[in-house]
Amino acid sequence: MVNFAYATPYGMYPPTDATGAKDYLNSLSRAIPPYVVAQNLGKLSPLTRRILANAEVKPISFPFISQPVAKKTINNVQKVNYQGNFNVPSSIDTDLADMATLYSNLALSTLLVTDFEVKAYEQGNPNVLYDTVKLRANETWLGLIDQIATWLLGSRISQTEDTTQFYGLRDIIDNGTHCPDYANINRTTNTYWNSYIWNATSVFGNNLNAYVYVMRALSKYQNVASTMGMPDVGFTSPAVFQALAESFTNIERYIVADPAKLEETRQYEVTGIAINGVPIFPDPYITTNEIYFINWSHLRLVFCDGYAVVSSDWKDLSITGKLAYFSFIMFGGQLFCDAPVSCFRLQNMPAATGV
Amino acid sequence: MVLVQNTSDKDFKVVYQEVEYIIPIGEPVEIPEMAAKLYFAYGIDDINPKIINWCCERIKMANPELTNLTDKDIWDNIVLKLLFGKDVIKKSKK
Repeated sequence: MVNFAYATPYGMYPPTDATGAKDYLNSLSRAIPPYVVAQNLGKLSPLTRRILANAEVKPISFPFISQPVAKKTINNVQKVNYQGNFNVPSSIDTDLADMATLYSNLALSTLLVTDFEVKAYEQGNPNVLYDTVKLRANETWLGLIDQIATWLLGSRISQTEDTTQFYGLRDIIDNGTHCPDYANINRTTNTYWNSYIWNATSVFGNNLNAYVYVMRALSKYQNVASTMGMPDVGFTSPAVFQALAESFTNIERYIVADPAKLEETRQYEVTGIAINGVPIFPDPYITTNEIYFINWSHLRLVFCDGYAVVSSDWKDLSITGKLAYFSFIMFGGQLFCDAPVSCFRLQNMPAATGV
Repeated sequence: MVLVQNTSDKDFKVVYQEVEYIIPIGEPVEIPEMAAKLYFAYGIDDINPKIINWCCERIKMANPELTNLTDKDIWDNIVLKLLFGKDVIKKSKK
């Protein structure tokens, strides 16, 4: 049985003489909360770490997620005189039909351990299990998260839409020209479901300092979409980040571009630059010359209960004619935004060469 | 796909799911129906100012040289000068 106890991490526990080899392997089998996965990743993707560390686990059945969405600003304010009269509303002002419906997706990775490795461990050579199997298990985890990061920071559309893949930021922060139907809501008539995408040079002019593009974009965003509040953070490619840092004069790097930190516990901190109060960080999984501005109040990863990063117990493969044990890791949920207009993209930013 | 003919005085393009569709003056071309909806509100009955604004945003993004035009300029001088589907055939018969 798959262990669904995602809420409480538990680690190694000692095998007994009675339980045999399987229990040695079970010492590697864990159900791990997403934030622990995030904190134990290498220097892979700060944005993925942030998304995982703040993921929600919803007690909902696979594969549906439904969520009300921010459709419009509701203004029901009335002026009241000393008679105290006001108008009682006769209908509700939100349309339940505008419920975003997402299918969750499931990523599954596998780990195989031969019976010989287990036997070697049992016969007094624990390093075989510890060094080789643990290494492979670790690499399997990193490989899974590497793939998840590629998906979350990319797109599931490449000419055709792969509905078995997680939605990525590029699908969510879009104006419909790439992903016309995000979460089952069409972006042509539902204008509230679009994100702004601006081309830095064509909208703001040529030959400006990189940080000026960011300042102007943030001002423009405040002008056109301020009911959403300002985005919390920006993520960009290392090349654009470097060009952004170099666009300040030496003294400005200390005064204007105050360094900001992405909270990353246990392993390292990511240092960014705050412009107009919005910190911008580099992420190697972003390869285009654009900045994704994200509002964390409206974007989050939602795990389906029971699939929040769990690994199965070990299956004996001797029945299939192989002296080996097999385990699988599951990662099931969806990247969800209840108001895509709360995020935006700034494209065609200057990029440093050679980075 | 939907047939579209540009009777304005400007060549322009639309980009939909990484594919670029040039819409030259005069010559009818086919573009995906969803692209026509996104860029020109094709097939949408209740066109409101917000829909027009987003169509113009998309046209500006695909055509940086049009960035400085107002939404009204783009809508009146480009979008409203497009013919679609049967209208294109009627015009070519004439």
